Amino acid sequence: MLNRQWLFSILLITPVAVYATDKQSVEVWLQKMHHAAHTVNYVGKFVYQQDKQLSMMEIVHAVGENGERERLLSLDEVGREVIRDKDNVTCILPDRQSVVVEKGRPKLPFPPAFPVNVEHLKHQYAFALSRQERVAGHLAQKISINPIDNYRYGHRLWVDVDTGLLLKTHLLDEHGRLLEQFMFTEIVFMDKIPEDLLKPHVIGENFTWYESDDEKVEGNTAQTINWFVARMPAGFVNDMQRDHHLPNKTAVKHMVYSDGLASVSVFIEKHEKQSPNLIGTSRMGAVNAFGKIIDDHHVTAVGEVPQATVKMIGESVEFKKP
Amino acid sequence: MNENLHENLSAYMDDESHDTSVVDVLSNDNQARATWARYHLIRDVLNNRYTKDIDKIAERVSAALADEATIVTPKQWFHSRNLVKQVAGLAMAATVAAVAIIIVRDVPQAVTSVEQVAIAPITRQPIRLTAAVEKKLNGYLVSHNEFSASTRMKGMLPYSRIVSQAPGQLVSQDSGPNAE
Repeated sequence: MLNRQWLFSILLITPVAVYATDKQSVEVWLQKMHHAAHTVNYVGKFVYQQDKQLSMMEIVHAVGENGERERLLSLDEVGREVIRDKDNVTCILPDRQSVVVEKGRPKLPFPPAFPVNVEHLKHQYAFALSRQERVAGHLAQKISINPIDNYRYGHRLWVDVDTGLLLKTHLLDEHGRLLEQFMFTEIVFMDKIPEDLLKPHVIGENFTWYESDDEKVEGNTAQTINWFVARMPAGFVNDMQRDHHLPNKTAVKHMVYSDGLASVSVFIEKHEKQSPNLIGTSRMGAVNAFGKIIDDHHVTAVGEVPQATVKMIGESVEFKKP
Repeated sequence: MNENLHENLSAYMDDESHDTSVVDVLSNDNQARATWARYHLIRDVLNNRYTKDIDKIAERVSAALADEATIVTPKQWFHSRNLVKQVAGLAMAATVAAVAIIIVRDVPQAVTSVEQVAIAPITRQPIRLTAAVEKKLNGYLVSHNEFSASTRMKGMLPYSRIVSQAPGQLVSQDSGPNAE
């Protein structure tokens, strides 16, 4: 009898204990992954899949005195690439014969602080450590993150046991179906990355350069101050807002809302009849966008979230008259 | 190879198209055949379909490599600085084969789960955005990436969406002024 009572107590206690340990360890693993993403030198190749589109990519990540430098190159016929350093993001698009430079990168200390508060996020997601599996020849810890509502995606992360680097990810839609995945097929860790590997592949002399920046927007900025989002899913808070210039010099208000894992950007600019604007919804793999016109302004909500989320946020953007 | 052919190959592979001209193209076009083999290979690796028939897979990988080896251009597999040779001393195609086989052996038989094989179906007929709207959304996406929680955690991986994007791939589900 005593034994049975003991057994009952153990059964009762065990799931709670496992949950608590898991949550704690998940945080440790996510911290390790975040740290590795910013501090490890590596060169690798990975497969990227969205819907039925499969792409092979090459990635280089270097850490030096000047912070992080990265390069991502598509190994297809077009060969688009993105190069990132502490100041700029440069997108080279040979199919468009153009180079787009984003100059307004966030100024963060290096290495950046761990941004995830698992304790806070557990109101929106359930975290669990799964088994360890092999990815690209490396033993990886699988982490499952499931949302509790339909306003965010689920995640499966495979984190390299040795280095903490993220080797494989699945992004699952609101019905639990696979939306997008990354998987390294090859990765080489190095002490130092040869300079040559960080240089762009092709920039044609005839390419057009477009640059955006964060300089103070000229003119009446007061008009953009009073915009606000009236409705957003539970757990989302305002993360950042800034005045920004698009490559065509249009002034745009950029606001970011996030629950800590999922983020939505809201862009607001003066509506011009001729300017190309999204009206309604658009989807690209896991990224959804929603656009509308209100009070002579164009509003676009963009994020790695389900369509319902960009729609809810975008539709609720209002101008609060002073 | 043109985008149309990519789409046709992909649709044919997924049994969504019965356009037999694809077979003619596959018979006559080395590059199309290599792409076909590569698509299958990558898809199978991603879906962990390597739990059975290791020998058969190895055979298919070899066949795909033999096809690819004769026609790949330097740009497709190695760019000018020949990254792979410098870093790993291996040809990319050979690496895929090696990795595929390593994965086969490491994945336990029972590991394939529903989440790994289920691909979200496209249920709506997509409408292409105009190039101008697409370009603008791309610009927004770069700005968004720089401030999103996902980039903070995953580094540069979210940029794959921009790099992999073929022209006209951004789709809108609402017809409106942005539809072409």
